[in-house]
Amino acid sequence: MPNSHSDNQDSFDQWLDAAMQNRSGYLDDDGFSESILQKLPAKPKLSSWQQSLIIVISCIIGCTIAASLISPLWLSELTTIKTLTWPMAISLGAGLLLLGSAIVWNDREHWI
Amino acid sequence: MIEETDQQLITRVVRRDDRQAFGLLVNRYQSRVRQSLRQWCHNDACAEDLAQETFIKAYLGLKSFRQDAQLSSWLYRIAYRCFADFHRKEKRYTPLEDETDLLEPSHSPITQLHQQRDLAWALQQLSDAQQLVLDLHLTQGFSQSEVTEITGLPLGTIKTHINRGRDKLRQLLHEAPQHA
Repeated sequence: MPNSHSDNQDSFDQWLDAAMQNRSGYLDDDGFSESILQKLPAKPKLSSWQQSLIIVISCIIGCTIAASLISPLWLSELTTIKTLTWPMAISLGAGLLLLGSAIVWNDREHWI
Repeated sequence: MIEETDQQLITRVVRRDDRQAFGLLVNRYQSRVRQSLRQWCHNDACAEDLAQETFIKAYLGLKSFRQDAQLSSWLYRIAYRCFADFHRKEKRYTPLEDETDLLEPSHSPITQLHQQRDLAWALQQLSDAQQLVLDLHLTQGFSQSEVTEITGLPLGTIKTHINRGRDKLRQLLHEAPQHA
């Protein structure tokens, strides 16, 4: 039979494929996953929102101090933002807007 | 309850650092990865260490995982690197070389043993690289190009390992009548 060699080869290959696939049974987890979780690096103590909040508060305090140094009347007279010069008001607003946008972009997954 | 897909679990891990989700991924793949490493290492303790290293590296690198890729082949790529690095340090294995130094069996116990034991014995007669490539291709079901991605070996080398491995297994096992 001319094809007997290749037939034998095919049948061996089929047997080998099946035998190799059957080699690995399921290995029980047996605490493996838990041990991995325990070895992961510690989570940051503050969440990203807490970090963002600290940045915003720091920024507001910094801006307030800067504004009070430039225009002390603003604090003493407790007037509105009109007492600030326009460039100061615009730069403060733009800075806060930019910061807010960056925070929202950074934490966008929480909104999905 | 519908089981979450790999992609959903990865999203939870990456976006919220959800470790429970990562635990589910580990649980899903630990058996395959640990078994392969056991077969590659021939040493269970070493395989367990490398498996742990694999999953910790996977956690650290999960943000760089391409969403369109297959998680299993990405994990196996990490596992293979851990394995190759470890053995490179030990100077016991050079996976980037073509290996042709097959061990010749000193005796043939094939006819007396069962098929799976015969196969296990025959596999041990192959080179490390052939065992590894056959495990990835035949046992784990990765395509030849996926094996190339995982190991970084050229496709031609992968094909050579598979063909030579098959030929050698055929040669070793052909005496057992139940195999042919």
